[in-house]
Amino acid sequence: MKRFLLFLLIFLIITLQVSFVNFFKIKGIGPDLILIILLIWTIEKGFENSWPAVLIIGLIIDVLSGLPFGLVSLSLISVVFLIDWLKKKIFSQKGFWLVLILITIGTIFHNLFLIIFGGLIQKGLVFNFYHLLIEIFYNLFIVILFYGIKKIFC
Amino acid sequence: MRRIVNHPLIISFLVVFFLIFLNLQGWLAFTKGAFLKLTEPWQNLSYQFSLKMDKYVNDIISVRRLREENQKLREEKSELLNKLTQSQEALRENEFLRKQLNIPLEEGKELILAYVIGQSPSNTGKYFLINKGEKDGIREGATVITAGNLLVGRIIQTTDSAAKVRLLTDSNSKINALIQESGITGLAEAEDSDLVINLLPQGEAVNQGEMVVTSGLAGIFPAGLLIGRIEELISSDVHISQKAKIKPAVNLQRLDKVFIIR
Repeated sequence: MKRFLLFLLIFLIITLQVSFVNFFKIKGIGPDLILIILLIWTIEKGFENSWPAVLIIGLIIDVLSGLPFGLVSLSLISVVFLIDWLKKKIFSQKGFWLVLILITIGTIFHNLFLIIFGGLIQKGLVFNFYHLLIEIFYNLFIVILFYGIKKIFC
Repeated sequence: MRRIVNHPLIISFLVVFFLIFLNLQGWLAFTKGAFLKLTEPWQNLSYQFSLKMDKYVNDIISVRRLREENQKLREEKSELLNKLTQSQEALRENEFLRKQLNIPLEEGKELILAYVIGQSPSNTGKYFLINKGEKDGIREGATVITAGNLLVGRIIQTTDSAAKVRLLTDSNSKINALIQESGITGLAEAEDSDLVINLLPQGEAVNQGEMVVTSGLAGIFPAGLLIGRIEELISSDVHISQKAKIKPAVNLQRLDKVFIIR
């Protein structure tokens, strides 16, 4: 039952990402709900529990996006692994601020990995610092909102 | 060795690389097509619903802006009517000249109506998904427009029942363009968040508000499709060419219907 609800939530977030998020974009850039959810999940449960979902979601995004197949999956898996490693090996403290720091690092590296892997698959993706800033701002805003709602209702 | 191979990171990478290999061989086309077909009704429903929600919220917020826009559109309408009369006259003249020179008229191309069912889930790249695919006669490379011959983009991938459209604002999109009034040609492409027309000769006068259309050079896009209007000229003496910022004629984030030129 829990697993079913989890996949229902994933499905809902992917739907939101391809429809609603589009209308809140600034300069064509919106929050990456999928990345946020996968990072929070990994921060809380660890890579060993989150990786199957990361893999499946990454492949779904690959089918839906116009980027070369496999690019988003590779980037998501790498970034989630990196965040899990950073959390376990580098950061000793826990809490809300750590989540914000890791989400920021995760967003930066997700974009970097897309560019790096994109270069390997011979697709010229352009890195844009200004776009990255908007995405970080948006992602942090969503995380703050998410934890705010969680604190009120849970 | 076995521990390394059994690590989730390695397993994930192996699975993805295997699927990339299958995809490159074209063996995933059926699975991808089936997935898109299965999720299409839901995607379509949620996209249309979010479009309606967005329209409703915008209507409430922007009543005053709409009034001003309405006034501006009325003025533009009279101006366009004037231009239409002139162009009809030119058309008659053109037809007469064609008859004189025995040049055949271009065959009317077929337009296929399609609905946008989802935008790209990733911030990298500007694409959307439409609900028509190979079975409807859509092929890779086909031009996508919206009502009024406004250029939207190009089909880059097709499955049986859906297709992906690369928007003209994507960083990989390059369009041979022509500034209609001055007759200068350039290359329309995305730069940061803006659409620009590049490689304009130095010293040529480009004015704000001039219309930018596809030039038809290279044969990728048909000629005469409206891309947008010149918003600002970015000129510098240190560069061999000048460029201008274009305001796209169509709001690509809020499109729901498009036409594919077959």
